[in-house]
Amino acid sequence: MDRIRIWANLWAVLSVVLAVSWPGVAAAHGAGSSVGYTLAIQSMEESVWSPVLLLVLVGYAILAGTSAVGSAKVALVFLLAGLGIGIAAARWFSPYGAISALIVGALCSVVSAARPANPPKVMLPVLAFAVGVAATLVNLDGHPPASLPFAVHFGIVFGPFALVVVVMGWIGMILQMRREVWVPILFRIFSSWSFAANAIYLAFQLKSAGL
Amino acid sequence: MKLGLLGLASGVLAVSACAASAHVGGIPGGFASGFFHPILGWDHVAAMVAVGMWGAFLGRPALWLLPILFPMVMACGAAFGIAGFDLPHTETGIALSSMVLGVMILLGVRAPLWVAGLIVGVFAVCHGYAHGVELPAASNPFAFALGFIISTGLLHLCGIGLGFLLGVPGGKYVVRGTGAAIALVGTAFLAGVM
Repeated sequence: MDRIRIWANLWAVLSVVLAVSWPGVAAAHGAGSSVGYTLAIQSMEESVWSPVLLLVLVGYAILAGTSAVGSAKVALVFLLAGLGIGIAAARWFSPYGAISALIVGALCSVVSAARPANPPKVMLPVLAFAVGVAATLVNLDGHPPASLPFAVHFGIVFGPFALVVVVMGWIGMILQMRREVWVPILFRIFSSWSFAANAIYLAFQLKSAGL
Repeated sequence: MKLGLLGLASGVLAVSACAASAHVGGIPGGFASGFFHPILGWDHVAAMVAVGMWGAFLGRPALWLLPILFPMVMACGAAFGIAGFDLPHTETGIALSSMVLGVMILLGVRAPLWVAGLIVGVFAVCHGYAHGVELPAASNPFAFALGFIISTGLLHLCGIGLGFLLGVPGGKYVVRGTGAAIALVGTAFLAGVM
């Protein structure tokens, strides 16, 4: 039950941090201009509901969820760091946010599908960092760091993080509960589908960008 | 018994495709259109099912490597199509894919893994390119792409399910017979009969 306990604890800590950070200041200024807790939640939701981000984050979550628990935990720290650093990097790399995110997503999916026998130890953290930076680039879409409320930044950082943690948790639980040989293979097949979707979407993005 | 039922169910699902070719007419929309696009053409259904069946015939690791390889290479082919590259004779390649893979199953060819991967990869480019050329015409290309990838994967699973019939008495003849039927479909497309 180690995997289940780890993910449940992570999720609980995240929820408590969010709840304590903005107590009782929800929707202070009427509909459409909510601040604090509501704005952070709204931002968290919106920060994961785009096809590009779903592809990238779920692609990475499958890779990390099927990896060893220890390395996945370390990678989560790098993911968080990437999401944070992406805020500072957004102003320079914004035009290529979606393209870079899809390239990173395709890379995650191809590694997850190929599943090399002895992957380098730095692979998972490096990919986590890249996914984090790319996800923030897509979410900020060129906005400079100070132009948005802190709650929005919180949502942009913790929304993708929460999605990755939840999907990793589900995969971890499935792998923990079902020990059949075909279960990991099924996730590799999903990864190949994820790569295919990433590659096709990337082709559209490149075409629309005139590259 | 379970394997036999799975194989039978896969067979019923696979042959429930309409007789239309996959590349006739325009593409109206998104996920549903993409999902049904490969299923509504015998040329694609035959090839996708054949990939899964041949993988099952070859056993592990080809059983899962071929269905993983196919959509990945197919997506690269689709990207070529979207980018507007010219890839000649793709329809011939699609028809050939059914014929060659059908013959492989019929004769029970146990090709080395890299040869099987190469054959499947080359045909995947043809299938992907044909889809990719049509994708920009779809109203929601991303949803369309997602639909056809999932549908392609499910057709592979049908093929693997059919391949499980090898584990039941007399199943070998059913699998090889299906291989012959797939080869015939490919030959018919190649000859322009279908």
